[in-house]
Amino acid sequence: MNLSSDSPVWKYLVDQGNYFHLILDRDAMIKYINKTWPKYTQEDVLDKCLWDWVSPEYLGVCKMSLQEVFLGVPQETQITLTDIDYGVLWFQMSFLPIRENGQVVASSLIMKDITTSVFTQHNLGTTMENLRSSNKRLDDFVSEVSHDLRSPLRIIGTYLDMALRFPSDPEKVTRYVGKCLQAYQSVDGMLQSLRDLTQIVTRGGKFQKVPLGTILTQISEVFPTVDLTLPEQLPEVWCDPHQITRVFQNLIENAVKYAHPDRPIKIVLGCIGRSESWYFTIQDNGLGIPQESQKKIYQVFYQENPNSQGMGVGLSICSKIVERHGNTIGVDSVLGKGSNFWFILPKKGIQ
Amino acid sequence: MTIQILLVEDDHEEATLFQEMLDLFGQHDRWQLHHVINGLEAIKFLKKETPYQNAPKVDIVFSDYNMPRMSGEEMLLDLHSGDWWKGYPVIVILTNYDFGAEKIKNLYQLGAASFIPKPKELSVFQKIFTYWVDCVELP
Repeated sequence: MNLSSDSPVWKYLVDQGNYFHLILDRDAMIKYINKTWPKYTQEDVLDKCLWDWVSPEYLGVCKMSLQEVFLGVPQETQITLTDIDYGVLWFQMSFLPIRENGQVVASSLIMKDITTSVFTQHNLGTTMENLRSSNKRLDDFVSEVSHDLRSPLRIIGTYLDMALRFPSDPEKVTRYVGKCLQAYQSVDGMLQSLRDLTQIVTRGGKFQKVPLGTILTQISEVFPTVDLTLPEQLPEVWCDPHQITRVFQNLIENAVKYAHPDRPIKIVLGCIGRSESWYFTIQDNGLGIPQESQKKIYQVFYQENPNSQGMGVGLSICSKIVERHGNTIGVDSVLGKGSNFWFILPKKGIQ
Repeated sequence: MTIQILLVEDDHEEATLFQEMLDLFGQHDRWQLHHVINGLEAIKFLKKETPYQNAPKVDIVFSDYNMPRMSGEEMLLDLHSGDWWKGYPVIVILTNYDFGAEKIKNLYQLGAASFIPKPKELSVFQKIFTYWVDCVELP
C-alpha cells in the first residue's frame, strides 16, 4: 500500500465518520471540502461562502474566529447551521491556520456534527429541571403535611399526660381521653384525605369524551336552592368524568360555604373555547379571598378561615385533578366582592 | 390583680388544649383567658376595636406563629410600628415549627419576649406558665 503523502489512501481516513474537512480562504469561501451532504454536489458548495449556511446568531462568532485564525490563532467553537431540509444542526468547529512561508494563507476547518449529543444533553437538562422542581414540590409537601400531622399528635400526647395526673379522678380522665379521641379522629381524617389525594393519580379513572352539559345538570340538582347559572353551550370534554365532576362540585360547594352574609349566593359558570383548550370559570359573589392567601389555598390542610368546617383539602384535590388533566387552576378574587375560580382543560386529551 | 391573657391561635384544638392546661394549673382567680384566631383579630382586640370594644387591657399575649391572615411575626411588626400603644403587653411566641437561628433572632428583635417550641409535656408548659404568672412582674 502506498502511504506517501499524495496517496489517495489518506482520503479514506479523512472521509471516515461525522467529520467534514474544509479549507477556507480569508472570506470564508470554501476552497476544498472532502464530502458534502447528500443533497449537495461539490459544485454547489465550492467557492460558496460558508457563512450562507451558518445560523444568523452565530455569524458574528464565526467571522471573529476566522479573523483570529488568519492572525495565527487556532479556534474552537460550537455553532448551528440552518438548512430547509435538515433543520437546525449543531457543529463543533475547529479552525487551524494553514501557513506557507510563515504566512497564514488559508484556514483548515473540521466540522463535527454534534446535533444528537446536544439534543440528548438538552433533553437531559429539561428532565433534570423537571425532576428538581418535582422533588422540591415533594419536599414542601412533606414538610407541610408533617407539620400539620404533628400538631394533633402533640395535642394527644399532652392530654394523655394530663389524664395520667389524675388516675383516681374518672371525670377528668374521661374528659381528657375524650379530647384525645377527638384529636385522633382529626389525624385519621387527615390521613384519609392524604390517601384520597394520592389516589387521584394512582387510582384515577379512564379518560373519555363526556358531554359536560350532563355533568353540570347533575351537579346543579345537588344544589337545588342555589342561584346557579350554567353556560348555554357546553362542549364535550376529554376527561375523567368522576374527577371533573368533583372539581365542579368542590368549587360550587366552596362558593356556597363562603357566601357573603349580607347577600344570597349567586354562582355563574362560564366556558370559553380557545384554540387548544377549554377555559372554565366559576364566579361567585361571596366573601372573596385576600390577595396574600390566593396562592396558599391549594396547599393541603390550608384553611383560610380556621372556623370553617372541613379539612382544607378540597382545593388541593381540585388542583391535583386539573394537574392530572394536564393543566392548571387559579383564582381572581377581591376580598368582600367575590371570587372567580378558573381552570383549563385541553381539547385534545392526554393519557 | 387578675392577669389578662390573650391567646392568638388559629387551631381550635390547640386553643382548647391551652385552656384545659390553664384550668388544670389552677389559680383561677389569678388570670383570665381570651382567645382570637389570628394576628389581625389580636390587634383589633388590643386596640379595642369592633367587636372588642369591651376588651380588657391585656397583660400578656401568647401567640402561635403560623396563622392565615397575619402571622405572629407580622403581628409583632404591626404592633411595634404604631405609636398608639401605651401599655406594653409581653408577647410570647409559641410554635410547632423548627426555625433557623436567624428567624428566631428576628422574632426577638421584633419584640417577642420569649420564643418557645410548643411543648409536648405538660410539666414544661406548667413551668412556662408559672414563670409568667408567678415569677415575672408584668408591666
